[in-house]
Amino acid sequence: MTTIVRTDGLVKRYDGTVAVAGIDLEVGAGEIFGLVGPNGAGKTTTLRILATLLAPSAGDAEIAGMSVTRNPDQVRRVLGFMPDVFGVYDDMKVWEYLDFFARCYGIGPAERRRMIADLLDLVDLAGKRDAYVQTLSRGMQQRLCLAHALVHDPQVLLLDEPASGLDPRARVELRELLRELRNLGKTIVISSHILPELEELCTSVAIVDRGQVLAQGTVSDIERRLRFGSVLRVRLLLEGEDLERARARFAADPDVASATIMEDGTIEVGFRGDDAASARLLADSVAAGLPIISYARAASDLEELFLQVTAPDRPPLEAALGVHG
Amino acid sequence: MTDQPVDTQLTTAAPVSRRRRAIGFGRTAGGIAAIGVKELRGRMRGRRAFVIVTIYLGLLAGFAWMIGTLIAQGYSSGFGGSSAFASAAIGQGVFAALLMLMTLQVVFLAPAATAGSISLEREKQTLDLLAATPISSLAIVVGKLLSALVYLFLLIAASVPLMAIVFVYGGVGPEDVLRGYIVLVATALGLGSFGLFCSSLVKRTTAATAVTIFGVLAMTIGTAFVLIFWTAMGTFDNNGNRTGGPFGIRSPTLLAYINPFIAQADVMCGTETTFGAWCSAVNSLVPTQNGIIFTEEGAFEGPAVTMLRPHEADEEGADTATRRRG
Repeated sequence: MTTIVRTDGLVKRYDGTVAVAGIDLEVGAGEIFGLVGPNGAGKTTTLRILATLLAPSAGDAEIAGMSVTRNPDQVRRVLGFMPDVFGVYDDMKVWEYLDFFARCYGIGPAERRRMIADLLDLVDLAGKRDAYVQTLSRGMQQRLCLAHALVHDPQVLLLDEPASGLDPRARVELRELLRELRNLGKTIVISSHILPELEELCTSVAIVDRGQVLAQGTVSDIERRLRFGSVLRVRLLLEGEDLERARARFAADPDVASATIMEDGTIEVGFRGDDAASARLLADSVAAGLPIISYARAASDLEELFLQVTAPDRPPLEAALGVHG
Repeated sequence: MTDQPVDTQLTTAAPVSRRRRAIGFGRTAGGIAAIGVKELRGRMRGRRAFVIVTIYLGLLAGFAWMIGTLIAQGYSSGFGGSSAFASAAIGQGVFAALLMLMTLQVVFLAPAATAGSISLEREKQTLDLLAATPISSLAIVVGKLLSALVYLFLLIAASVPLMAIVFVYGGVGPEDVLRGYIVLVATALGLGSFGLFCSSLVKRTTAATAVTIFGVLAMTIGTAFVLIFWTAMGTFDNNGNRTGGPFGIRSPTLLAYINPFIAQADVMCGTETTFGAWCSAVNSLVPTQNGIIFTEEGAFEGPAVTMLRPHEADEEGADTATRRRG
C-alpha cells in the first residue's frame, strides 16, 4: 500500500508547552486511520499541521508526496479538512455554502452545479438545499461541513472529532457516510476520543498521548502486542475462604501477574502468557480440582487498550510496546 | 520527497514565470470573486438594502434643499454680499455641505463595515475552513474589503445625480465634483482598509471596532487638533509668514494627508476664486499644501494579508494566536 500521509518527527511547541513531541505517522492510501487519544494529547495540533493551518516547530509532514510546509497551496488542493469546532455563516443557504467553497477552489459554474447536487445527495441533505445553514440541526451541519471538505474531490480527508456532539443516530449515519467515502477511494484520517466508533471503522489506529505515538497499527495488531497484558476472567463454584485459596493458587502461577477477586465473585487474572500457557493454566486448575464454571479472556476492545496505554502511571505496557513494537 | 509544481509540462523559464503569474492572478481574482459573491449574497438579500438607499437619498435631498434655502435667505436679507454671486454661492454652499456630510458618512461607515470582517470569521470559527482552502490571503482581504464597501459605494454613486443639482446654480465645475468623489472613494478604501487591518490584528470584534474608532478619531479630529495647536503656538512676521514656534517652522503636513476632511476642504478650496473660507482654513493648517491626496490603503492592506495565516509570514511564534487544544 502506498503511503499518502506521512509525518516525520513532527514537533509543535507553544511558548513553554509542547503539544506535539515528535510524532511519526504513516497512513496508506485508502485507509481509514484513527488518531486516538485523550483531550490534550496532540491530535488536533497534528491535524492542523497536516491541514497547513499551523507550522510545525520541527519535523515535516507530507501529503501525497508534497510537504505541508513547502507546498501548502498544493497540499490544500488534495486535502479536505473538517475542524473539531467550526461555525457556519449566517444568512447563507445550504447550496450557497457549498457553492462558496467550490469557488474558493476555482471550480467552474457547470461543475459546481453538478457537484453540489451530488454532494447533497451523498450527505443526505438534498431536501435542505434552500434551507438557511443556521437552521440545520447539529448533525446536519456536521454533514454539511463534511460535504464542504469534499467539494474539490480531495484524495485525503482530515476529520477532527467529527462525531462530537452528535446523537447516536447521527453518529451511526456519519459512520455509514465515512464507509461510503472509503469505498469511493478516499483516505480518511479521523481523530476521536470516543473509541467504539473508531474500532468498527478504522483500518488502523495510532494511540497518541502527551504528544507522542504510543502504539500504531491495526486494532488487532495492537491487541496482539498487548497480549502481554491480557486479562482472564475465571468463575468458580466456590465462595469465601475456598475462593480465596483458589485465588492464591492462580496468583502462584509463574505466568500470572495478578489475581483479584471481583465483586461479582469472579477472579480476574492478569496473565502474561500466550494462548498455550492459558490452556495449560486451565488444565492445571481443573486437574487440581477447582470447580471452574467459565474461563475466558476478557474482550480487549479499543477502549480497554486505550485506557491501558494512556493510564497516568503507564504500567509495564508502555515499555512492552516500546520494546516489542 | 517530490515537488509537484502545477504546470510541470512547461520547460522554459520565462514562459513558466509568466504563466505562473497569470495563474496566480487568475486565482486571486477568482478568490476575490468567491468572497465577494458570498458576502454580497448575505448583504443584498431582501429589500432592506434598497429601502435604505431610498431613505438615504431622501434625507440627503432634504439637507441639500435646506442648505440652499439658508444661503438664499442670507442673500435676500442683504447679509450675504453682492447678489450677483448669489447663485454661485448657493452652488458652492450646497456642494460643500453635501460633500462634508458624505465624507462624515464615509468616515463612520467604511471602517465600521470592515472592522468585523476578519474577527467575526475568527469568532464564528469559520476562518479555519477558509484558510484550509487554496484561496490566497490577498484574495480574502481584497474580497472582504470590496464587498464590505460595495454598499457604501452604492450610496455614494446614488448621490451623484443629487450632487449634479449644484450645476444648476453654478460656482462648481464638474472637475471639482469629480475631485470630491475621488477623495470620498479614497477615504472609503483607506479607512475601510484600516478597519480590516484592525479586524485581522485584534481577535475580538468589539475590541477591533473600538481600536478602529479610536484610530479614525485620531486620523480626523486628532490630526486636525495637532495642526491647529501647532499653528496657534507659532510666531508670525508682519506678512503672516511663520517665523518660528516651539515645534519648529515646518508644520507636520504629513498629518494633513491622512485627514479626509482637510482633503475635502482642499477640494472645496478649488472652487473658490480668491481667498475663500475653505482656502484660508486649509492654508492656515497646511501652509505648503498642494493637492492633498489620501492614500493609506496600501499601508493597511499589506499587514492585514499577513495576519490571516500568520505562520506563513512568521514561521515561529506568531501563530500562538491560532493555538487550540489538541
